[in-house]
Amino acid sequence: MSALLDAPPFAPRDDAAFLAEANALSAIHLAGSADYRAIWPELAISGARAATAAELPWLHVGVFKRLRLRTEAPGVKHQRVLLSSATTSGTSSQVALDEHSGRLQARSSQAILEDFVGPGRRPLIVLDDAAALRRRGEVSARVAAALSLVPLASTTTFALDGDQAAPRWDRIALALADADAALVYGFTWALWQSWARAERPDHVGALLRARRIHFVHSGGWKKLEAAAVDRDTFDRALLDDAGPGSRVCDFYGLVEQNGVIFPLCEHGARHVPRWAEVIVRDPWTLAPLPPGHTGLLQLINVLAHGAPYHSVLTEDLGELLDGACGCGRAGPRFTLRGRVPQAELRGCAVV
Amino acid sequence: MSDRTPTPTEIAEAWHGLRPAMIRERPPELSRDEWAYLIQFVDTSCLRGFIGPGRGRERVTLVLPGNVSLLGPLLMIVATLSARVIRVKLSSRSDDVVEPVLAFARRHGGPRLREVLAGVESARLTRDDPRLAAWLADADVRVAFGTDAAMAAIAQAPHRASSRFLGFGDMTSEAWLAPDASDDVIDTLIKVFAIYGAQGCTSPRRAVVLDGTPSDLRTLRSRLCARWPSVIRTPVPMHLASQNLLHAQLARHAGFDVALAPGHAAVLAKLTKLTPSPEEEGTVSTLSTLAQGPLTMTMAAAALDDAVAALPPNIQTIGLGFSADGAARARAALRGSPARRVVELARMHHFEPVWDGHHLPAVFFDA
Repeated sequence: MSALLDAPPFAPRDDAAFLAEANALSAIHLAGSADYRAIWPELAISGARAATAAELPWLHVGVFKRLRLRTEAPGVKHQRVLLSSATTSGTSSQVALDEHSGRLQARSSQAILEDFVGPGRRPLIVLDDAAALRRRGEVSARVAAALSLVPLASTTTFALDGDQAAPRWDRIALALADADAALVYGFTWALWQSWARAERPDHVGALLRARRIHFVHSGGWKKLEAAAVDRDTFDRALLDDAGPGSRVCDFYGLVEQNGVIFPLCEHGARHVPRWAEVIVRDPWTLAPLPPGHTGLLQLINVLAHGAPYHSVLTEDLGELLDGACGCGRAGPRFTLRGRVPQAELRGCAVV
Repeated sequence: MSDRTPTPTEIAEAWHGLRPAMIRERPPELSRDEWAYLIQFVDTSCLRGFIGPGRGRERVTLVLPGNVSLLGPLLMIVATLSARVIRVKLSSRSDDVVEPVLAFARRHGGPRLREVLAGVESARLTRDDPRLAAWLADADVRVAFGTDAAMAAIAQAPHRASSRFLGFGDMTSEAWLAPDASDDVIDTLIKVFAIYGAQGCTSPRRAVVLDGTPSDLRTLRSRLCARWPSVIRTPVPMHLASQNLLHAQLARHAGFDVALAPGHAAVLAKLTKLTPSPEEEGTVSTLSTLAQGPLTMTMAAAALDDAVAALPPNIQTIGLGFSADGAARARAALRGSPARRVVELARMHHFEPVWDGHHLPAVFFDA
């Protein structure tokens, strides 16, 4: 277990303790994954320890689309494989989940979410199809994100059937009946399409307006941008038909950082929990960049034992923020600046 | 306009007449280097080489992928010398360089060129669009780029019995250098590679140091890294820098000794030897599709005979970076090899009348 999980996620932390855990995790992956050793041969030989978080070895996020990495180590019992949603490339990332990390990741996501939506169990309504759970040996990112909310749920209701865009309002009404609050989770586009823009029966509208709803969403804004929907419009559309104290919580996360999520605080920052670290790097030199400079985000956590996804160089752009946040949370924080712009290199289309 | 169909030479002259406008203005979709090459290409003296002795084949269909290189517009220009009806299938998904060239020529070309270009139709189509099937069915010449499977499908689509097919499939090229290659040769290799990385059929996906030692190979890679920033001064786009970090890790995973050029401009993946031992076969013998990145160059040292023996069956061009004596020796050794072109290193991407083993004038004209 990580001792870092024993305090609230955004409490001050001992950086040396974080680095010691991260170094220990790198050593476990070097010892237990031949694939990882092949990618970091110099560390496999020297066993060198990083003196700072920025020196920790990392894997490019694309590696998880090409290789199914696994670390064999005492106490690591592999379970299902987590798959990212379909991407532009059409290839999913694959992350080998294990029991031990699963426990840590569940504690992590619960602690982070509680910090944003408050403690206590309440009905969870998931804008997805329950059938998505039933894939043998694999779990999709959408389902994993929804399941990360289950520790906060008194009941869980899957509100979509198959590829139907319209939710099952009858199930939703049933879930809301005896509660004074609820969590509603969906991918950003699904929440817009199937909730904010959907017509709902009057009695369901009345139930919602009498309850404190936390709308939690994750996933990109690309489709919403194409539909000219900005964050204010999105939030307003959700909150218009919800009771007093309702809020919208947008979180950023990657399947390659399962269990570590970065919700947006009311001051527009994404806070890094004490068991994680974010480094912004210059794409052309990999030099760590100070606050105020945009670069590639490297995400680090100390929860990933089943495969070396504890330190991942992403293709997301971000910027560290300086100073203290008005929301009162301690530790580093950042803002997202979109994805690395893509363009194809010309050629003969044969590679 | 004249009732008479212009001759191929008159059409070449009409393209030549576009040069002053091309010198003044460049479409933003084409790089400075690409545009400079096109200006040189539309010179009458260059285009004449593509004119055959007989009658031009009248209907040409070009099937171009989304990321097609300058070969797309070059073939379109060559087709105009013979054909009166040219159909260009462009990718339905991404930008291309043919339409910007066409638009420029229509805007700035003289009456004759505009008349010729009136016969050029381009459209963004998917492979299963019925218009493409119709274009292929009545074409006298069909030209296609793509994977071997995609090209086979295009070649087999219904067509006239007399129709000719020109396919640019999955080809690869190599650069061969001497261990003591001059700085000029190193700089040329960097320039030639940086144009399309490993993406073009004429790109040197592999550099071979002939009669070199592992130490020569290390030296070559160090020299490439040292000289890269002074030869290519523009940083690679951010996504390519990121992809190179990815492909460096994948190449290491595949067993290569990898270095990144400064600014993550390229992945230089070193093979211990060109011909692997049986137990190494399948690991380090070739960079697997998994690890081959758009800007990954593999490097090996080999004796001349071994380099010839290790040529892949789909080898297109060998670019030679030698003194005259070294080049003559390499050319002699390559006689009878599967290599379709053997040229000086700097000419690897040059588009010539004999291309990829095809004599283009004989394809586009009936003798």
